[in-house]
Amino acid sequence: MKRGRCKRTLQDISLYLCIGVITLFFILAIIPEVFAPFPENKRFIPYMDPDTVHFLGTDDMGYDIFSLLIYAARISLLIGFCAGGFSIFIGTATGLVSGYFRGWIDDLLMALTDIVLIIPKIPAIILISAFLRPSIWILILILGFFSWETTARVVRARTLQMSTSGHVLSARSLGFSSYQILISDIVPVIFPVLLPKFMLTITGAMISEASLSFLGLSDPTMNSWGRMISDAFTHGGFIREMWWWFLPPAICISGAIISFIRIGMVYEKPGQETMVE
Amino acid sequence: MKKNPLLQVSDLSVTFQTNGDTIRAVTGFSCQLDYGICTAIIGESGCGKSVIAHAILRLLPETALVTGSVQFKGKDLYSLSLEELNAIRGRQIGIIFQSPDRALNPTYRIYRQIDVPLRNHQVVPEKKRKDHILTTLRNVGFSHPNEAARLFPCHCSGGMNQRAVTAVVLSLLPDLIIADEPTKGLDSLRVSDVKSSLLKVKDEGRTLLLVTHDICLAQDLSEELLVMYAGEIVESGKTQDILQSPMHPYTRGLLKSLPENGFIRIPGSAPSYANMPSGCRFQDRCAYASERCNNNLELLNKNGRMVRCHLFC
Repeated sequence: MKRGRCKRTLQDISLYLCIGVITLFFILAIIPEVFAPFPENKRFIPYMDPDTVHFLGTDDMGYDIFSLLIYAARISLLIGFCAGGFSIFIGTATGLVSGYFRGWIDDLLMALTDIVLIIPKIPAIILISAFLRPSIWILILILGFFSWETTARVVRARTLQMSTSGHVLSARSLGFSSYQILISDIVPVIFPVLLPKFMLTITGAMISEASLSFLGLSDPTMNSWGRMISDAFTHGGFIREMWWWFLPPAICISGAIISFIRIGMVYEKPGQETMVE
Repeated sequence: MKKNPLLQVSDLSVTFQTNGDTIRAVTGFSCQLDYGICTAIIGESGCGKSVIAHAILRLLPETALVTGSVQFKGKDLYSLSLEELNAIRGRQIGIIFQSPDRALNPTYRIYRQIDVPLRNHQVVPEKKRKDHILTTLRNVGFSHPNEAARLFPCHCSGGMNQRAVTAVVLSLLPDLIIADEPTKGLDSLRVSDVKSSLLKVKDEGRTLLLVTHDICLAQDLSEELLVMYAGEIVESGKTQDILQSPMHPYTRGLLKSLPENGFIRIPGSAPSYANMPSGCRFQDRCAYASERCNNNLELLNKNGRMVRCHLFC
């Protein structure tokens, strides 16, 4: 009993800590100029060690790394959220239509899902990114397009289950259209499945963005955490063992990913779907 | 001049196609529901009562093959478009499902369960909607409707959910209410609550189609009674006439199986729907069965009562 309570307290602490981390990153992304000691484009002496003025020193171009770290939160979170949202939207719409209407439309959409599912993601993203003009919105579209298929599969399975349930039959008997039933009776019930998927997709997009930036395939004008690690690698940060250059963005990416996953896990507990309003 | 019936079901048959088997759930069901009259369908589990209730509103799954016609106010429900049918569903024909816990949206409070269909059909003006919802909740037996309106289905007992489902249907003021086992799984106190709310519906002059196992409920509420066995009507007529002097051997057996009549069970079990015998479907369990029972027989009119039995030929 005592052990269970202790475990629950630890889980609560970890959850609040993760919510705090994400909130902090969000505040930094919305108003970076308030927290960054220097503007993003202000230059100082290159390769400075950390001191009381430059908490994380300066990079090869003389930019303040701590300020860059704060400004980079905006791009990383924007890519994560937009790609995650895009992916969840396509996946949910596909799964709902497929699972509710069934028949030929289900066969067609699931065949499409299977095709996307078997495409090797990272090589395809690298290939497309290399051919298209580097841009944040193209990156979001590519990352979103290659991560909706698992959501579609999960949503379809839940929709198939829900479409024969009593309350959906009851909604049909009350004269609701298929669209109204999907939005009012199925989406709220499958929401506990969607939220963890959304969080996982955000983290997947953030990791992919960092990987692409590290490979130099992202927009060179945008400053993200992945880009900072790439710069540290290509501009002497690793050789000079300037850990304060590449370690903080890596910690930020890891912290954001762990926090998103932990928050998503809240709705993965069974038996909570009936309580969601 | 005789008024047209509210609902006219003619020769309704429902067949389900499963893996290689053809299940004839309902065969040649016909009935007529007049305005303001309560008609009850009784029979043992699996005899096709609920299938009929679902078939009237075209709620059966795609695997069901439905033949015959269902005329509501002169319109054939099976020839309407989905949009036209949706305008009738809920607003003109309401159905109270069995298993109320599953008939309510688990993510909505009771208030919203009633409010959303009301808004969809625009039954009452927006300003009067809240009062209408609370009055409906009070009418179905919630003594504190404000508190009940705030509850989720998971916070309610089975009886409360049953009343909430009834409130959802009644709030739309339909002309015809189909109550599918409205007292299933309720204690006697809740049964009397449901009975009084259905009596109120009758008093308002609405038409009721009661699908039930509960013969006492059918006796108290209905004027007309249909007795079903293995997917077909075996006897129909005035409720009091049938209950006082049942004609078909199955109806007699059904009434003898009531506790007050000695709990005498009918021997044997219903035939398989995939392999229905020719002739009378009750013959294997009937004490009066003879050679002629192997021949098919239509419903016979016997002094205003309809009965499907060779004993009355």
